[in-house]
Amino acid sequence: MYTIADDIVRYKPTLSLVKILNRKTLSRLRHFFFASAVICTVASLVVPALLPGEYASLLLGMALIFSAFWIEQVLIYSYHNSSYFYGLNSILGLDEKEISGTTYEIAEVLLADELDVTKTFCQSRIGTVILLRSGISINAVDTYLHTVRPKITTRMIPLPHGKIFSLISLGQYLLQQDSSFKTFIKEQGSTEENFVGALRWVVMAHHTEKKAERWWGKDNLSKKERIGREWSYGKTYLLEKFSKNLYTSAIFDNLTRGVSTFTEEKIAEVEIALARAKASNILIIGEAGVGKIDLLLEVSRRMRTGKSINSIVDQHMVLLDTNRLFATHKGKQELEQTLLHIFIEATKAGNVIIIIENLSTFISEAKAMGIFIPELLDPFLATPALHVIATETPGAYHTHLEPLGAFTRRFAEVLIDSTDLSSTTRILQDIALNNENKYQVLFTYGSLSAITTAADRFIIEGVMPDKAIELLIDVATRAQNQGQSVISAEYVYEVVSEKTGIPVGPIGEEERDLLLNLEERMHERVIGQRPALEAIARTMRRARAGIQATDKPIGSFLFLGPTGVGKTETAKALAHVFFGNEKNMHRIDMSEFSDGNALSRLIGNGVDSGILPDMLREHPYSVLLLDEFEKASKSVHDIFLQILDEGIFTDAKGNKVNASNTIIIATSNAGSQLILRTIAQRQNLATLNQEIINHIIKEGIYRPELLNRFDSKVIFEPLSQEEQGQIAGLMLKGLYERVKEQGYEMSINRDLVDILVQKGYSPEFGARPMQRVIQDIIEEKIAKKIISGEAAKGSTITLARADFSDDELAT
Amino acid sequence: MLFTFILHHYLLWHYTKAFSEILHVWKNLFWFTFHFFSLPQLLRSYFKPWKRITEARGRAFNFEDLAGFVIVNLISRILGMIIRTSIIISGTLALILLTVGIVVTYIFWFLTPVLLVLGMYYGLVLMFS
Repeated sequence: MYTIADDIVRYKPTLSLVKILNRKTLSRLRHFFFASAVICTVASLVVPALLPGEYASLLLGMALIFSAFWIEQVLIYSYHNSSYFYGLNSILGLDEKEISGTTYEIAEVLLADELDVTKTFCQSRIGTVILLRSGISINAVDTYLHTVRPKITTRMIPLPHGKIFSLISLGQYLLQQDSSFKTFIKEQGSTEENFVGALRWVVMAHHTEKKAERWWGKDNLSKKERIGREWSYGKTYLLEKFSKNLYTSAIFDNLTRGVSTFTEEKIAEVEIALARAKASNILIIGEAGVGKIDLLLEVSRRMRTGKSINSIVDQHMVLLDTNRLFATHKGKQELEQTLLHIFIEATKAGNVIIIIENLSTFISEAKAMGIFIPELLDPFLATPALHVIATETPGAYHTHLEPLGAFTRRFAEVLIDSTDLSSTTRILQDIALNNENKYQVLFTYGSLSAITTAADRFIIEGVMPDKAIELLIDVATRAQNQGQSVISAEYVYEVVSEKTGIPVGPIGEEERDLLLNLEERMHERVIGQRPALEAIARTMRRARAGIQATDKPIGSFLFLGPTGVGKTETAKALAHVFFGNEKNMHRIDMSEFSDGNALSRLIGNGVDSGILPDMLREHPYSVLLLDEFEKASKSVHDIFLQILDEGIFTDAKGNKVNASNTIIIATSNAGSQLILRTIAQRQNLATLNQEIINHIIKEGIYRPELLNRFDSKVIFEPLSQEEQGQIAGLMLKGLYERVKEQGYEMSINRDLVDILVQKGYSPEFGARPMQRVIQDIIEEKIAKKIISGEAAKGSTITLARADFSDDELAT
Repeated sequence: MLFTFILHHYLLWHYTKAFSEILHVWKNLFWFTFHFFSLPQLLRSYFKPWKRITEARGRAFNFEDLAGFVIVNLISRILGMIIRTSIIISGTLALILLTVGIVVTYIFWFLTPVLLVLGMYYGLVLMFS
């Protein structure tokens, strides 16, 4: 078997060489000898005119010796490069040629100790960085390496055929073959995924740095701009005056390293559209921050370096500076003339692609000055001599551009979605490396995954990868201010929890206690309804444990039951327990959304925004209470099919609205009669749950597909005599507090509780009328006692049955 | 001992693998030069007006118009040809130099160990003569 040990031997001479003089010193020496040789040669030519002849031969001799040393250094440099860059193209995906063998880094690491591969990997410079980025401390590694463990030698690792064995391969091999190493990683709170992610990140960053050193590589040489490429095309003097440079947010820099098929597809889509013979204009549609201009920048770069498809290789992108256009032109005629001039000039030039950012804004600003852009541009859009690329957000596209019909059809549409999670993490890797020095922090791979997940799940505003990048910078800034040097996943979740107010990430001690006793906590506010509270608590625990689908609302419940039994109170309790305050419950009366234009009032109509998008945007982390849900129209029910299923919907303006951080509670009286009947017959509600649901479906109140979208359908039962008493007690306690604030004491006795229950509770309205009884009868009695002077300040007000007239006691 | 070990491996590389590696770098440089001077594009557009500078012709026949059109066009095309020719010649020269360069490099590479020793020897001789 051909092993790693057999292969790394060939690196011994080059590695021995750089042990004496490292690459940096070798480079400095090479430059020194070259400069000295040149100086001595020049001096030997100049000196004879000034000094005696022997100095000239001394200088010439020195020039010869320096030249010899310089050549020797060039040879050593080339010799070392031969090993140093071995397999680099293959690792970076630049070459499809199959080659076998180990990389220079493998030999550099393993030749230090061939009898204990795990140890030498962990103690190497690059291995240390990998472990740090996996979230494992150096001290823990040190302790682990000193334990008794089975050792892997270089002779035990077979060399794979037809592919390069890099540090990534070594790391993965150790994870598979060294069980003690695998256990150690898990014991340190890291995961295999984190280790492999950190491994790829560190090794690929190292190889990318190496690539930059190799100036003679095709990839580096192709970056130079070619000469003479624009000589057959016209100049655009006026356009140049009203244009600006394409800029980048460095998103695509990452994605175009041959790691994302998404970008290659999009680049091809743009290039093919530009190469079309007629009407080769493009409208790039994507949310702000998805990288629309970055995509164009990449296409432009490919054109400049001759990598794009042949028919567009000479094209030249110019970003129209619309702000400058509007700022420098005050009159309609003047602006119209300039625009026409710009477009005629660009058409004549023959190789210009004009980019207009946010097309609808450009159109509406021009419209304000009396210019109708679609009409003005139409002849230019039809010609193959000029290309126009416009960018737009989906919302503005639907509202402003789609109605323009024929004008919009002049453009081929290219849709850009947010980057997926793995691409976002890859983008973050580069952003993290570029920012670590600035903020004096070190990101672990786990922290980047956490930033991606948290940004996707909990940050409502913005799109990926933009919002993930913003979160990363935010986390780095906070870490620097708090003196945190290593950023872990836990720290990221801590920051996100602080920002959003919702508990995310690993469950802490306090939160664990809250979740495990959620029923009890809610029970402090809600009387009775134990089965309902248990069902809610079960769902919430499942959601928090992360085993529920992430693209749905945190929780969704349908509360069924008669009025006044605690449905709203339960929603308030949930808001209080989960989001810290009962004010985080927002209510929509769904009975107001039963008519024909209910949907447009709920989600907007293109001009006015709807109540639901507004509410969700303003309070993304809250409990949304949909009262009397059954009374809403069918179209309203339909929109909730999507919200409950996907946690997201599109409003009338075409903007996405996120509801995935909301707890949605729909309340309904549907089936109340059946519930009351069931209770009257003294049957167990739990066993009749399905029967009630079937009854609701049969009555056509809710469709089965809508009912099935709710995480849980919770049945609230009428309150028992004892529970009614407890509610009366709670309400009287509230009254007691108010009386005490006025400087009086009040005794709450059995009589008062009984009167309240007797007068305030009805099977039809539950405990709801109790509040009215307190207000109309009991508060009235107390007020009279205070005003008449019967109750002095500091005295105790006592009300007994005798204080109430028969009329007042009558039910 | 270490010196002879490195020297042995070095010489083995110098007279075997290094030749193919030099060829690889040369291929890259040749490819770059060919594209840098845009030779195919310049040849394709050899007779085209310089930066599309031309005079428009009126619809009705007018001798002055025609003369202007012909003269401006001719000047623009001739100017374009002159500049393109200069770049095409420079590019071709660069490619020829590269081709000669690889032969010279191979000969030089073959002789470098000897040249090194000679350079040292004559350098010392000159210094102490």
